[in-house]
Amino acid sequence: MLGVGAVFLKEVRTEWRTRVALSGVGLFVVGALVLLGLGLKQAKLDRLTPGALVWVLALFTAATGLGRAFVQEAERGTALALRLYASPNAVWLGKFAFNAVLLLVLNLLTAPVLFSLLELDLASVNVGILCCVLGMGTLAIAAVFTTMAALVAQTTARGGLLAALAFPLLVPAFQAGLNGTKAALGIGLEGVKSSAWQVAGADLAMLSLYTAAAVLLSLWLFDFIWND
Amino acid sequence: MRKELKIGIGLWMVAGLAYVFLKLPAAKFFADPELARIVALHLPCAYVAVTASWMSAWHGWKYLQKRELIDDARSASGAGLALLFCALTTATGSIFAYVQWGSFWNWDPRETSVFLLMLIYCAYFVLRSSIEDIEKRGAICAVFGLFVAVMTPLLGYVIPKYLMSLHPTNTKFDSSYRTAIYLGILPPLLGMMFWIQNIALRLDRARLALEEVDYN
Repeated sequence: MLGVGAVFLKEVRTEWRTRVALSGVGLFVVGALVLLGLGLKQAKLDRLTPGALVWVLALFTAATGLGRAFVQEAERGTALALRLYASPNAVWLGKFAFNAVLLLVLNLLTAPVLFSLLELDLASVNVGILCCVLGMGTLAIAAVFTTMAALVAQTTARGGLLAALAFPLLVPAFQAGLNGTKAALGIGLEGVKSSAWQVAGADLAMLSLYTAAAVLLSLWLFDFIWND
Repeated sequence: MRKELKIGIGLWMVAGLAYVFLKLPAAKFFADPELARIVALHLPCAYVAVTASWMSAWHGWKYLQKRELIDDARSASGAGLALLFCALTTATGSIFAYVQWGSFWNWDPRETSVFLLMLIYCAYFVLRSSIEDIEKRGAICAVFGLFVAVMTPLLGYVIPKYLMSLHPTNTKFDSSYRTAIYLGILPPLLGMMFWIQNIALRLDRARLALEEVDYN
């Protein structure tokens, strides 16, 4: 477990030296928000649309920002040193932790901005549910993207392929997250006996199951691509 | 593959198709009762697609253990077959959906799942073509194939919870439909799957042998 923290700290430090990923993906998010705000300025949106756009934006942010994790090791020639130093599981978990934290910060910042840009009444949002669902969904996205980034880093295509591999696999998490967001926005709760938390609880359970499966599977399979 | 086996598969397929088109009764509860027979072709395609997907993952696992390139070739041809039969399932399903529900695409959960599986295997082949080193390519593709095989049952389990299903669950099919699907079409279709894989493998063996000649 010591290795995991060390790999995570190494990721943070190398990122902090250049801040390329952070500024790149940060500017991507700002640009996307401007485009969404401008494009939907005069559209009459229902309450569900901002909720769905948060998830679409989260997936695109991941596709933009999380691909670098293993590419830079290959480019700088540091993969071998990391291989000697840490176990494959520690490497995967450290990278996953870094990706998850990066994505979590971005998503928790963009969601309220997007909601206010699209003129959703912020007071009517159940913040607790939204944070839980978005947090859990972010873990699922980060887990799948970390493994797919490790695969893509070995190819000549790199850029475009990451989203093609990860998006279809992430559809179950997307569906569950979207349903939980609906509960946080109070959609579809009329005439339902259970409370918003109970409705979202089923989605949270689904997201946890998905994330656990993705993490365990990644830990099992990562050895084969890392030690080649 | 033995010649007798090929003839057997062909005859079985002809007999199965004849049963579907001549013997199977039109189903009364469908919008177009005559067209309900497509179910007997649609369902086996989906089963074969899932079988091919598991076969691909299994050979991928064997490749990771033993690192023999022929296992990678088997895994790749399994993925290709999964892609083919996903496409067939989507096509037959769309025709039926158009007649039954008036639209080629309804976001039906199972329909969506099969389509996503098709997308995943398309991505598999893009991944494959973007890796030059054949041994590395085998390992990467095997890992992706295994990831897919474990995560996609979640598609089938999770998505139906969120998208409303149009698939008939309470309608009763005539028992002859079961005969047509499980005895008439599914066995020869599985046979055809192995047959196609056999041809693909002979091609791959020849390719691998050629590469060895190049090395020496």
